[in-house]
Amino acid sequence: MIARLLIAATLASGLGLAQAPGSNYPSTFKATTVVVGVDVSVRRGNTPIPGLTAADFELFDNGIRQRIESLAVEAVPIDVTLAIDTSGSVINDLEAFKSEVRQFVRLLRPVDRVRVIAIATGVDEVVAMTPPTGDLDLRGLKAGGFTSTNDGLVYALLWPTEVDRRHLVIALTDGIDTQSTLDSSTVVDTASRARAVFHVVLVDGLGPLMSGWQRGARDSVVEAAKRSGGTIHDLRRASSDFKRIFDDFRASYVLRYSPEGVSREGWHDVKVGLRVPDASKLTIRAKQGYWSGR
Amino acid sequence: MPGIHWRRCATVATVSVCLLAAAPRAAAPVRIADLLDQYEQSGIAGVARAILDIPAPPPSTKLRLYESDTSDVAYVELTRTAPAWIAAAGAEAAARRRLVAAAFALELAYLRQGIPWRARYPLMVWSCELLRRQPTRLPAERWWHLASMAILEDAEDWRHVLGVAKVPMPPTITPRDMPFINQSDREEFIDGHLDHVANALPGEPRLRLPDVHYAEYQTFLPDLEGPLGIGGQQTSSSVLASLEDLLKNRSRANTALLALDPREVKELLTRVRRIPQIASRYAALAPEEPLRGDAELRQGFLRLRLEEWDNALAHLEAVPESTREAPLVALSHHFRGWIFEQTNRRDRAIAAYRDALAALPRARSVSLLLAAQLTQIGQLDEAYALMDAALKARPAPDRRLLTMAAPHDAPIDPWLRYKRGDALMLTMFLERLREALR
Repeated sequence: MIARLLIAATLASGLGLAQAPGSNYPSTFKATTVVVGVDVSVRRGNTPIPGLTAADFELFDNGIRQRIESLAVEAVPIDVTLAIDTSGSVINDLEAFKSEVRQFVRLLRPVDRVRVIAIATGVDEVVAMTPPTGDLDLRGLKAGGFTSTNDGLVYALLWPTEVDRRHLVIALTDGIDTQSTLDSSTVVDTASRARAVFHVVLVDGLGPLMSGWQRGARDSVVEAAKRSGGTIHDLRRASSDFKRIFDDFRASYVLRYSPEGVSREGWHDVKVGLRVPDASKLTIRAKQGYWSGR
Repeated sequence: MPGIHWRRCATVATVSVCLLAAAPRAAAPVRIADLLDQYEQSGIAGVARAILDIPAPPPSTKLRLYESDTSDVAYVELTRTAPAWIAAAGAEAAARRRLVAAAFALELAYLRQGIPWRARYPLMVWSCELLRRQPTRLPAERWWHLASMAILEDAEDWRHVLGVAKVPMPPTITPRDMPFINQSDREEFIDGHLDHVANALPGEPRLRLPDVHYAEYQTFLPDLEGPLGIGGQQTSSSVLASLEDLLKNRSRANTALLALDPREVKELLTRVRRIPQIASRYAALAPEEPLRGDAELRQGFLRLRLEEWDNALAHLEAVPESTREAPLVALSHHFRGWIFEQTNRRDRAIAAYRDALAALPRARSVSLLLAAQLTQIGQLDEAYALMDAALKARPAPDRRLLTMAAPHDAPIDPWLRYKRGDALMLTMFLERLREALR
């Protein structure tokens, strides 16, 4: 899931990371060390598996086994970006939808933050990243228009989350794009490289009327979610869908390690496994890799 | 969209945006004479908000397909009150006031993009007639004429730009479908607005462009579906082959192309095959200094579409030496960046995109393309910052007011306007008109 590169040159100047209450994140790092964080979700069926320790995981970076230095769960603050396709094919009742978004936001912890992006003809940040306090002002969320899905998703994924936080992107979309500058391969590529875990609540807006091209665009969104360590959810009820995704994300683990024995630059293939009984019956979801340097 | 739905008054896109943005506002009396006073005294900044708050005309089911809508309160009130407002300042000031009123009509037609073009077009007819009956002889009038042409091109209303002889009506349309507002409307339809502008500005070099703009516009491939990228307009021999293939095997086509019947595909192919000729027409204009920047940019883009990369680059590199117009310079770098991307020269693509943003900060498409390239090399934070600035700078259509505030730093997207001829220069012309009226 989230692969964060912490270039310790920044930290060596004495700038430590603010440590979140209860976080297992280290607050200082050795100079010249690169620390990578990988979010890992472990489930049996639909149920997250709690209580695992670093010793229960094995992690390979470009095929080289790595030593897991720390494991964090639960307490790490989360930045949630809701990327909402407001075109007519996705949202029928906007006011009801806004109420569901507010319900969801009330479930976040004070340390978490949320932002809302509306994807229509343009891409608008309706709510800037903010703690979940007060009543969310969603007046900027307006229905209708064309859809700049690719542009909106790339914008959502690239949010520069601070190193002591995690970033969860939840998109509500039918995956169809009619207006973007960026193509769907850029969404997939960005999902591979960004620090976010990307989940998609997929709306079957056009159903059988969807053209081959539109199906291809939708498949790209699905692939992007997979590459980021996220997955696809069918829309049932937005607030409960969002909550389920958030709860699962919060229950996931963050494995941190300093890559050893691998080249620093380029693509790093990451494989995560479990060393527990019945591992084959558990599902592990993690980002498939990360880019380092050029 | 060449050959798809020829409508006099609105493109598919415009209509859709209108439906979005035409939400009813609390109706307030529209005092156009007051707005004219404010516009004369404080320019666009003093009236833009009020213009955007003018209620949209209610949708009419009675209008025929090609019928203009003269029910818009802004049009009704302007045409009713402007003559007295012009006369009120006395004979000496009348010429300037005519131009102010005509410029105000352009502002109404341009800023209120949330209402259908058929309801804005009457403002163009009225203001053109106002200046034709009594030209003001003021230098600022040149900018009115150029801006008025640009607004018509922005609306893709080519028939009113060039006249019905050059942009014929579909054969199924009968004279009954053509109810003109008045004699001026009939003349604009028959002769084209260009003809009227040419009478007002004899020898104006820019008036040699619209014919070629229209020829180029007709070569654009349908973009009803999918991202609005440059790549969708490339017309190499393989693209032409796939269009030809479409005539034989429709199952391989995307929805946008399937919307065309075989006759339309044939027409599209014929037009696309004219790209080299159109490039030659621009080449013939390039020796004229005021047109060189436009001509080089458009030759460069046409050569890009043909995937003649080196030839395209040579033309595009000539643009910054030929003009200082920000949209032209920015687009030349944008297109260069695209060519470098296609030819796997990422560093040069990034440099070219940066040059484009230096010419026109926060231009949306190129900001996003640069962000995508930076993401590829791991510079995620800068990529985000670029997207954030561009997307926040570019308002949604019903907030176009913001695009008018500071045209040289305006978050316009020249790529999205390129197809529509001098729409590319629209904000520049409007701003010069405003400046000249100050």
